[in-house]
Amino acid sequence: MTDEQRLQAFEARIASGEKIESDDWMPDLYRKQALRLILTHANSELMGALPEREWIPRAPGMHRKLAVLAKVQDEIGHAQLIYRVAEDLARPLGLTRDDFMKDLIAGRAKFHNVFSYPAPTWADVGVIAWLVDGAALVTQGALLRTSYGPYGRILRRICAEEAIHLKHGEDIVLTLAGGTKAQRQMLQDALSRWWEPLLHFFGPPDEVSPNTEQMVRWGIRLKSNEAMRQEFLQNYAPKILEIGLLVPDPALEKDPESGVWHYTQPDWDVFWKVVRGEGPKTKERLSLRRLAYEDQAWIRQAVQGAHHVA
Amino acid sequence: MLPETAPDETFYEVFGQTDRGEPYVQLGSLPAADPEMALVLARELFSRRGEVISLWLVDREAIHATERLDGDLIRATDRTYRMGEGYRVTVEKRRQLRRVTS
Ligand SMILES: [Fe+2]
Ligand SMILES: [Fe+2]
Repeated sequence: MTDEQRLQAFEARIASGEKIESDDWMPDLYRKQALRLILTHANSELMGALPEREWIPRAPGMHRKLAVLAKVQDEIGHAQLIYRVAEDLARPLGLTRDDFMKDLIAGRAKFHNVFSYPAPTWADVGVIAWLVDGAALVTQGALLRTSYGPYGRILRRICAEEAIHLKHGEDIVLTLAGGTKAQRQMLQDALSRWWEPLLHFFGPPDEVSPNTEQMVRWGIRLKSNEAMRQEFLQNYAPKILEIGLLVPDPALEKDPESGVWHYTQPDWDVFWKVVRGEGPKTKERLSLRRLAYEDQAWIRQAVQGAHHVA
Repeated sequence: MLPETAPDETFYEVFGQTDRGEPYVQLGSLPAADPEMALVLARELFSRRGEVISLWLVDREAIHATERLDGDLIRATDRTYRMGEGYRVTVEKRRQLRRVTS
């Protein structure tokens, strides 16, 4: 079979809804695009554990402490599962998990913008678990039907756990919303802080890059940034407003005719700054990740032999 | 620092059973130095909420697998004699027989 015929057969399989497996032939570009997407997700799970980890010792009460601990453990578990999928995909490129880790701590790898921000109050923990995990569930839910089979399968487990995180977060938020004036203010401040990063989360709306088009064509990803942001607003904006919180955007409104949410564009320069690694907490969190990687090398040695694990 | 490469890495495929009497289903895979460690990791990764009551770990190298078969090609040939749907006519045949014998 020539490469051209292979490509045609490959695209026909995707068009018919068949999944691609790690040992199937695939175009080099498909492998690289899928790997980049999957690694960004894995890195985000790993980095996402850090802001909440800070709150394990400070969470109010034993039940909340255990819940935050369990969530952090879940996120690390998600990272492990996804890195494993990435490893199989990266093998023909000669890359291992060790390379992924080194790229991440050297600041060469991407992870979601939201994990570059501080979580100064307990209300931030609630807003993160409810809305950041809610946003993640929108993007991950859209990826359940990805054409790359191993990723889609592992996402089923991950999405089920994200849905639990969301409930945990919503519970913290609702408790604070029904609390004292000071607690409500703390919650409002946290929401106001997170609103812009949450809109950034889905990426710029004008995605016309040939790269993205190709990924959608191959079914690696399925929804546009704006479609996912709209889904997020549709799911969460009414719930936020219902509990008497103010969204820091006077223009936020649902068009009753089209069902489209209108909102003020966030400052995309800020987004690109964070993507470049200049977020308020990017450097600090990466050095924490580096510290963990180096300090715990002996544990990896014990668990994995010479094989490195996140 | 540890060595760059991992010559002794083993990947284990993880299978789990959700309840007694249920089949073992592949859940994912993980790297580990030995089976004992793999079992510890598998519990942590795949059953934090007691999702499975039992886990099997299989060294990936020990799996014998077929080529991926072309399902369409198989289904393109007549296999109705193997399938339940091939015998739907039995209801009609029974009715006819009843008419003849009554
Ligand atoms: Fe997660
Ligand atoms: Fe989560």
